[in-house]
Amino acid sequence: MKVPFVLILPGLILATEIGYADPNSEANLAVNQAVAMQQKADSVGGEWRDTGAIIQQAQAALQKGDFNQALALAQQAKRQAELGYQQAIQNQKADFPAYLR
Amino acid sequence: MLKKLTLGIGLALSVTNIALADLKEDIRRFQHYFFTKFPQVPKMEYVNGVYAIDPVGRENWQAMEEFPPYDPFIDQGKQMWETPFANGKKYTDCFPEGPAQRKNYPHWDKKRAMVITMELAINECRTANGEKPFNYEKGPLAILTAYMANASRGQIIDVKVPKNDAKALEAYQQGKQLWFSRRGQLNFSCANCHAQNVGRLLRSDILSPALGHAASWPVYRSTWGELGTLHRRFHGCNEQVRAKPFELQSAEYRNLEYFLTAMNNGLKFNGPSSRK
Amino acid sequence: MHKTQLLLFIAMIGTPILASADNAALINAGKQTAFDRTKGNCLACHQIEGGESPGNIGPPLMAMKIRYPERQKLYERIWDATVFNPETSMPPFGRHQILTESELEQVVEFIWSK
Repeated sequence: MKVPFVLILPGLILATEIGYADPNSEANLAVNQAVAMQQKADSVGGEWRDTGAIIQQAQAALQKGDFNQALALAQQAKRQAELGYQQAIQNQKADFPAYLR
Repeated sequence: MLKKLTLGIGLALSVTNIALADLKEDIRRFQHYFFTKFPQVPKMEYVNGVYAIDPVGRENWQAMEEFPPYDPFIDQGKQMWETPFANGKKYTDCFPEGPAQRKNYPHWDKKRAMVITMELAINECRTANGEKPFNYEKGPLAILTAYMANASRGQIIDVKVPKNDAKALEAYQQGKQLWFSRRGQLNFSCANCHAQNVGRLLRSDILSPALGHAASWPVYRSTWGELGTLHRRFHGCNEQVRAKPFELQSAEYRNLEYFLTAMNNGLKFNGPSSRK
Repeated sequence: MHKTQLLLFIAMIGTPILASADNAALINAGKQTAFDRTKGNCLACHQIEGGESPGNIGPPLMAMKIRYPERQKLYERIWDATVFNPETSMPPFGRHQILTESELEQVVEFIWSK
């Protein structure tokens, strides 16, 4: 079947909308997810010191068009925020330990 | 009706008793840990921080105390205290008793349902009189509180968690929970260093006991090269364990100060002080 | 001796020598990482031969192959010490991503050599 020429360009655009192997939108999404996770961690007092700076670096990489770097940094920041959130939840019942008497 | 009243009173009393018992038992347990660890250290000595448990450091510190680095700031602080605001009022209008205010803080304010610290009270005095609030970390506030702390030397630490006030207890519990919580990428709680490993060496520094930690502020720390407040130290410690610090004088840090100072009940305020 | 046998013999001796040259490089990298204050910072708490002004919050790190006959157990300890002692004051270097995977490998190699 011959693909009508007029359908090729819209087809490509549609493909990128779906995020089909588009590094830009993948990195973008990762940064947004990192920010969301950072806020979640912060809401329970569990955010780590460097998470915000890593997100800023990811955003800078996005601006520069360095999508692989942006993705890697965003994933690192998101993971930190997840760990910080879990840590805060685990420590919500923190109290005198057995040795402190 | 009588049944309901009795039940009500009974419940209130039991809550009160739990609250009182909690605080007294927490203090006893907290202090007993250190007394057992360092049987040679007299109770009142703990306000000298690491110098209570480190004989070599103590010698150096005592030599420094002949010309303490915080001394000039006491005089500067006195100047600040005596200088009227632009509107003609003075600090004595907010604090009629005078500068020796340490014994009054931190305390639970029932009406505002929050812990009030001395530093917060100073800034509220300033803003109420049309002055800009001070930075909570260092600088003018640390200098003014150096004067006030010096005037307060010898006052007994006696933080109260009021009866029948569930919110006060909650603030105390939050402070306690924060002190015992592991935080940051390095996963440390205040307890890890200042209780669990107290007296041990972190690289070349001896870890100081938490008993005494609320007594000596503001502190001239050699690493800072200047005076700093307790909340500055909270902030710094949080950063060192790679936790995002809270805001100075935030509810978190005020509640933490509330718990920590209560654990120091019975000791005497001895600020300002110098530390490594 | 036949030529092949000689070559095989040289290969037999040579491989471990080459391998230990690689290993030496790994151990050296591990030492850098372990002593780096922003990375392992092991000297904060542990006495380690070759390091100065160590802390004493943790035990001195020596005779490691006797204390950890299995290298994997040492790796797990450094990865997350809380698994072995919930009250530990040792940061979870792996779980909390304080060190990368390759940094962990280097550090384990270095510490296990002590």
